[in-house]
Amino acid sequence: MRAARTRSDARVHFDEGPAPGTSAQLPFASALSLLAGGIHAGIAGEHLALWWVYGVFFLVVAAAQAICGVLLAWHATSPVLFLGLWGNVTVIGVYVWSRVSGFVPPAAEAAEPAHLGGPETVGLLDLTALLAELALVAVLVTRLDARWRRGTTNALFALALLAVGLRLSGSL
Amino acid sequence: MLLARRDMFKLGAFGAAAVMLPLERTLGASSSGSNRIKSSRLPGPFTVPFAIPSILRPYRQDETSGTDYYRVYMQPTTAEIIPGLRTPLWGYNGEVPGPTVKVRQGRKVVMRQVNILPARHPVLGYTPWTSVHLHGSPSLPQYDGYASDVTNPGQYKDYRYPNTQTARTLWYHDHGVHHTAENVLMGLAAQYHSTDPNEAALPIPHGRFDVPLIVSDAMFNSDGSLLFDNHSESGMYGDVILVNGRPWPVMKVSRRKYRFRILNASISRSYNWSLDSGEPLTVIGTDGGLMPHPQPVTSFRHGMAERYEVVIDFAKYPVGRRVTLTNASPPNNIGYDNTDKVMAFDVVGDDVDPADNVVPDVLMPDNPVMLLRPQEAVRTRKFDLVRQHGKWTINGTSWADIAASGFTRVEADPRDGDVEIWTIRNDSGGWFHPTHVHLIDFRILDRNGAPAMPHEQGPKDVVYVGEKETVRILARFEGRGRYMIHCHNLVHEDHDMMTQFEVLPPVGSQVRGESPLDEPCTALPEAEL
Repeated sequence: MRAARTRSDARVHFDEGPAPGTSAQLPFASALSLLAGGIHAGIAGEHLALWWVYGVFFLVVAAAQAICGVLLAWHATSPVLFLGLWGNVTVIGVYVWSRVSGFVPPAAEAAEPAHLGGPETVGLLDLTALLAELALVAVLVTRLDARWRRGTTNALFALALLAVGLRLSGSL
Repeated sequence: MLLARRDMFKLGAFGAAAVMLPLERTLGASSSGSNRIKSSRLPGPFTVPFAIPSILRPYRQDETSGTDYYRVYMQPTTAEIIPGLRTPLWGYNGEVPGPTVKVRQGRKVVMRQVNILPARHPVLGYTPWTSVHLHGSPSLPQYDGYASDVTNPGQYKDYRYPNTQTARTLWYHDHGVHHTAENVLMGLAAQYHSTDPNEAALPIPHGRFDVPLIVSDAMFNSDGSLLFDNHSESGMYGDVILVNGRPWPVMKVSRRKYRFRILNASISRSYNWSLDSGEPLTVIGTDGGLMPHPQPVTSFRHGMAERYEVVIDFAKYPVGRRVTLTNASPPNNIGYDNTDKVMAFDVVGDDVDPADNVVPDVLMPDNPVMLLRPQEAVRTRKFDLVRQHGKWTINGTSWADIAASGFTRVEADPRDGDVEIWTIRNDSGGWFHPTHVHLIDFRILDRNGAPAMPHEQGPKDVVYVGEKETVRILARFEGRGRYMIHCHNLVHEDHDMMTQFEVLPPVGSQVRGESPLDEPCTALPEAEL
């Protein structure tokens, strides 16, 4: 008979303190988050000129990544690590969608509707932000305890399979 | 804490998908010929019979208002351009080139354009919004195919054309912002002929001896699909020359005069026509209709979107003779093995219909545009065609600037009835820019101080501005509202060599033109037409 899971067992558990040999992980994660946030902040203006929704999205992402970067360095609690991980996974998902499929919001609202309809091309700056976010996700995954880490990597693997499947089927 | 090998694998798969999917799409979209079909698989020149696009019949005619109603569906199709392969295309009513419209001056037209294209371009992935421009028509702003007045798949728009223009060769083609080049290459282009009493009464070739030639060029992948390579946003050049959608076709002709309405519908390629016999081509019409007098030339330069009506007299040749239309490429094009050939004419018969077999010395002496004098101009404006920070611009302005202003910024604001001289300058050494001014006809005053070339001495709406050239044009602005000015290298236009002017009301009037965005498209299903 399987033992009943306690309330505290069911909650995601991150290793909040430095494990042996991993003391540089959180400062590194903080730097990655600040780098990605800085890039998003730097290009928010030009996206704001295209469509206000774009601009707001970039500003929110930049602010979230900056805050995340600070908290990772000074207050790396489990909720911060959890939100940092899945928040960046979400940003990565939006990025992949924008480069593979593109967004089609109401053209009449956009100053430059053409930029909103098709996939954007990959550039050096956005690739840098993406790599920083992927490295950040990898670091945060290593901070999970073994059971949660297995579930998280399974979920990320499933997302990768879903994306590739959608692409191969022509849906993405 | 270190990761187990299986966790590293899953994390790696996630990272690889996140990096590779965008890269695959980007690299695929900018494919530059890695899958280009071998030239040995292309059809040989002059092996395919010539064909003429169909005539579009009105869906309904209203004699009370004098209006013809047309219904056109922008839809996918395929064609066998490369023998044994099907090329996916988009056509007006599924035809490439689209069907020709023929109208009389003064007969109004309502043309419903229904976009039933797929949600995404099959290769490039963009949403194929469209905007249909009737090139050569003084349409109201909201029916002029304003680039940002787009119709998405699943929507339609009713365009209204007054047909007040003189007899001429017009063409309707896509003008959707940032994807005009791809949409036109896919096939969204067709001719539109208007006639008037003067043209109809002239003894120049009519009927089956009045032949449309829509010239374009394309490059293909090994599976027969079109290959899209804009050479870093500089231009698209094909290794196959198409006339009315056929590669280097052969036309059978009788020993008499034929009138050819030559439209350069290429994305970026200009041509320099001549006959291999050395005999002259007689130019009788330009973009805005008949010239005052015919101009015999042994060769002439033809930029994108320009239309020239040319008479070739095959009575000079014996039956059995093949005459070839050749292309001595102007500078700043990319040439391939057979881009110096266009089509051939096989002289096959003596069964000459004697009617309409003359080119009179006087064609249209009283065209108001050709009677304009520089002294009538109330002002002169300058337009510099330049590339700045990787963007094609006109006076430093691009369509992004126009869009950022809420489509209110204008580069010129003549009043209704004003005559102006526009000086268009291309100081570059590597590009040519056929420049199109919407709404109006103009005449070319001079090029680098010299008179307009003989073949250009008629009413125009596109002017070829070659490298290091400065061209002065003269026009009367009649109408109201905002209209586009742009380079008709469609890759330049898409990236972002387009601006606009506004024709203001005359002094004493406050009635401005309607906005080009005033009449947006409608979602399907269609309402009654």
